[in-house]
Amino acid sequence: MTYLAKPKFHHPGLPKNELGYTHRDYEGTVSTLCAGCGHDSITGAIIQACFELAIEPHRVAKISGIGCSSKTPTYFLGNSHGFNSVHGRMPSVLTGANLANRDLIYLGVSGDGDSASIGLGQFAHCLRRGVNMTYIVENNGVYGLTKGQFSATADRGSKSKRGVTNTDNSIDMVAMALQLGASFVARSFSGDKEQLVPIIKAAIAHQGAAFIDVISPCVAFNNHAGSTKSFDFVREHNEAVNRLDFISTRMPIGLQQEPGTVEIVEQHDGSRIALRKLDADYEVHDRAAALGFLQHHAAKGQIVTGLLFVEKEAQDLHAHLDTVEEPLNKLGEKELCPGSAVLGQINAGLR
Amino acid sequence: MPRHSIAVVFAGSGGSGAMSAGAVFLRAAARAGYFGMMTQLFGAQVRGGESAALVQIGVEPIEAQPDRFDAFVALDWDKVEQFAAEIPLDETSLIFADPSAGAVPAGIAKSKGRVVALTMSDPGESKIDRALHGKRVNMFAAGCLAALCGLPADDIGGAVESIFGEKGGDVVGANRARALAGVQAAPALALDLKLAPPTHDRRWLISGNQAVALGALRGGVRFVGCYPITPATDLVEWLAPHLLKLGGRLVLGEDELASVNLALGASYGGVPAMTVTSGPGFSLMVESLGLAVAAEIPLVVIDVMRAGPSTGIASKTEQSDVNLAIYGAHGDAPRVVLAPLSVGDCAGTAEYAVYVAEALQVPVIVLSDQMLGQATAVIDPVSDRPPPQSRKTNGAAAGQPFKRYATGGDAVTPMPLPGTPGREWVAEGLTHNEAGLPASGAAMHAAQIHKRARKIREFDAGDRWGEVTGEGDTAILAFGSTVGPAREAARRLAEAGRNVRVIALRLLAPLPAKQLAQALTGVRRVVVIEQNDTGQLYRHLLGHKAVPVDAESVARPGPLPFRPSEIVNYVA
Repeated sequence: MTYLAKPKFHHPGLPKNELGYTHRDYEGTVSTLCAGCGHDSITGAIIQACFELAIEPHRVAKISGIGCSSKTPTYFLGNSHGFNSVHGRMPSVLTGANLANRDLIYLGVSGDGDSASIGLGQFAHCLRRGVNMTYIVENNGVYGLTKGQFSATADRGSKSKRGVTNTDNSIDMVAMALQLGASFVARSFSGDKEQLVPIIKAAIAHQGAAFIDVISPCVAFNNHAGSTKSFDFVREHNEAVNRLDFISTRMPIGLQQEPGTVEIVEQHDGSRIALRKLDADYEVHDRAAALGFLQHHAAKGQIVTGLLFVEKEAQDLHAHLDTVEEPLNKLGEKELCPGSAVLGQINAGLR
Repeated sequence: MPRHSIAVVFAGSGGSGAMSAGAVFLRAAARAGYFGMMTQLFGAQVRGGESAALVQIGVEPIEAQPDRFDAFVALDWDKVEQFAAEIPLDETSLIFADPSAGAVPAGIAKSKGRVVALTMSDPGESKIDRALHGKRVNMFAAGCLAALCGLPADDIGGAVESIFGEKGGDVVGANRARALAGVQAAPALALDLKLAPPTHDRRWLISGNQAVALGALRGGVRFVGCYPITPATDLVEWLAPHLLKLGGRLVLGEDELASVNLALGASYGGVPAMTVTSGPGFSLMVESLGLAVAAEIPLVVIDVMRAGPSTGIASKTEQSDVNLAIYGAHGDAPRVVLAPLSVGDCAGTAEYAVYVAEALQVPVIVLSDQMLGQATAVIDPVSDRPPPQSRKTNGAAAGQPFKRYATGGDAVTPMPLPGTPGREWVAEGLTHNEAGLPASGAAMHAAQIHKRARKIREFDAGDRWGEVTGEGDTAILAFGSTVGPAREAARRLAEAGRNVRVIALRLLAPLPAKQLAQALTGVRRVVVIEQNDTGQLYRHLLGHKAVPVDAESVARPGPLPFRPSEIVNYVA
C-alpha cells in the first residue's frame, strides 16, 4: 500500500468554517513520507489555507507530476479532483485542464526535480502563458524518491549526505518566475507556517499565474551540515522581506493600518493582502527591482522569503485568449454552432 | 480517341510556382466535372529546393499514383535532376520546356520522351515587372496544359480566382491573364490530349490532412494541443480557424511533450481533445500514451507518417510507425489504432477515432501518412458518417462512494466532469485502486490491467473494421495510402481476367479477428503489402494469427509510392 486511509472523526466540537466544513474535510490519507519531512508541513499549510478560505473541495483540481512532492496531493484535499500525471508534465496537463474548464481552482503541486530538472521547459512555458493557478514547488534540492542525488536547485558547493560536492550552478526558480512574467511570485519556508499559509491563500485568490517556491528540507537526504537546504541553514539565512495577512472578499478589514508599514494590495477577485514591510528597501510591485534584490542577497548567501512580486493588474491566459466566461466543457452544440453562414463558408472552401 | 485520364507533372525549383500550377490545373479539372488527385514532391528546403506537383485527372475516381506520366512540364531546369528518378517517364511522354531555359537535362532526356518547345514567359513584360512579380510561367503552363486536355477557359480562369482570390484583384488579374495566355497558345501545339466528357456532380476538392481535420471537428474535437511538424502542419493550419469558429481552442505547445499533455489535460477537463504530429513528434508523445491508458483519459493522436527513423525525410511518405502506434509505451498499454483507407476516408476515420476514444476512454491513434495527407483529391462527398458515441459521465448512485476505476462490472467506468460535487476523483498514472488512490499490491495491479485490457478486447468495430473489394482466392491486404494502388492493381488484374480481393484494414489494433477471418474465407493466397522495410503490419498480423503462416509479405521502405504496376507484377 502506498497510502493509509485516515479514519474520519466527527467530533462535534471541531471548528467549522463558514461553509460548515471541518479541517478534516480538507485532509487526505495519512502521509507515507519520512517523519519530519518539510513536505508534510506544506501539506498542512495547504489544508489550513483551504479551510480558512472555505473553498468547496469539489471546486479544486490538484495536478501533480512525479516525486515526493507530487505524492503529497494524496495527503490533502481528499475530497477534491485531481490528475497525478507523469514526471515534469504537470504544467501542460494543468494548462489543458484549465482551458477546458476555467471554473475550478487549479493547484499545481511539484518539486525541484519535477519542475527545475525534467520539467524546466514546461514550468517556463506555463508561467509565460499566464495560466490562472497556484503553482507550488516543494523545493528540497534533492531527489528523495531515488535517495539523494542533487537536483537542479541544489546550490553550488552544497554537500550531499555522502559527502559529494555539487559543482553545478543552481537554478533559482523564483528568479525565473519573475523573468517569465508570473504575476504573483513568493518564496517561503516549510518551517514557517505563519508566513506560508497566508501566501498560499493570497496565491489561490490571485487571478493569474501564481508561483510559490517553498524551501522544504529533506530530512532523509538533505538536512546535514554542508547542505544549503537544511532546516538549520534556512533558519539562519532566511531574510523575510514582508509578512502577510490575507483578507478574503468576505472579510472586513479588521486591521489597523499604520502608514508606511502596512500596504493593502487589492486583487482582482476583491480579496486583499495586507503586507507588513520588514525591509524598508523592498518594493513588491517592481519586477526588475525584485530580481536585483534577490540576486544581491543570494550572493551574500541569504534566502529572501515573503511575497516578492505581485502585479496589480494581473491577467490570465483566458484574458489573453479572450475566452467566454462559460467553461468550454459546458458549452454545447447550441452555443458553439456558428450558424449556417459560417458553416456555409467552410463548405464553400471545399468546393 | 479521347483519354479517360491524363497524368501531368509540373516541376521546377522551389518558389517557381509548381504547386500553384498543379493546384490550378486540378481545380480547373474539378470545376469541369473531372475527378483527380495531386501529390506533392519536394525537398526539405523552404526556398530554392526542388518541387513538383504530380497531378492526374480523369473521368473515374483516382486513388493511386500513375505508373507513368503523360506530360512533364518544366518551369525551369534548375533542380530537376534531383528528383528525376522519382518521376517515371517513357518515350510516349511529352516534355514541355521553354527553349530559353536551356537544354533538357540527361535525367529527363533519357526517357526519350518527345520535347515540346513552349515559350511560357511573357515577351511583352518589362524587366522591372518580371523582377517584381516573377515570370508567372507556372500560370501559363497550367492554362496551356488544361486547355490541351479540353478544360473550358471559364473553368481555368475560375480556378485561378478561387486559388488567388484572397490575395486581391491585382494578383488575381495578372495570374488569370497569364493562364489565359497559356490557353490561347494551346491550339498551335497541335497536340491531342483531350479527355472524354466528364460526369458533372457535386464533388469535394480536399486533401487527406484537411479531411482528417474535418472529421475531427465533426466528431466533436474542441481542443487541440500541437507542435508544428512536416507533413502534419497543414492539417493544423486548416483546422485552426475552423476550430476557433466552432468555439474550440488550439494551443501551440513548446514541444510534443507539452502538446500531448495539453490535450490530455483538456480531455480530463471534459472537452474532446486531439494532438497532431508526425513520427519524430510521436516518439516524444509515447510517454503520455501510457499515461492516457493508465489514467483512462480519451485522447486522439493523429500521426501523419513520414520517412524515418529519426528525422528521416520530413517531406516524404512512409508507413513505418506501425510498431510504435500499436506497441509504443512501457508496460501493458492497449490502445486503438486506425488508418484511413483513402483521402476521403480520412474524414470518417478521424470522426470515428474521436467517438471510440470518448466511448472507451483510451488513446486512439490515427495513422495517416504524407501520401494521403498531402494528396489533394477531387472526390465524391463523404456522406457515410459513423454513428456518434460519447463519454460516459454519469456516476454511481448518490450516497455511494464514487469509484472511478471500479472493476468487475462494465469495463468502461463513468468519468464525471471534474468539479462535479460528490463525484470527486483523481486521474492517476500510478497503479491505483478502484477509488483512484495509489496502490502497489499485486491483486489490484492485475485487476486494473485486466480492466483496461477488457475495454479493448470487448470493443467491436462492427463493419467499420475495414473494407473488402473484389472476389477471388488471392487477397491483397493493405492499409493507408497503399490501399489505393492495391485497388487499382486489382482492377487491372480483373480486366485481365484474374479476380483478386483487396482487404483494406482500417482497424490495425486491436485486430478485428472475427471480421478478418470472414474476409479471408475462401482465400488461398494472402499478400500483405506495406511501405516499411521490416513488415511491421505483417508481423503484427502473424503474431495474432490473423493471417495464415504462409501469407506473403511485400514490404519496402518509402518514400516512393507503391505504383499499381508494381503490385500487379508481384501478384500476377
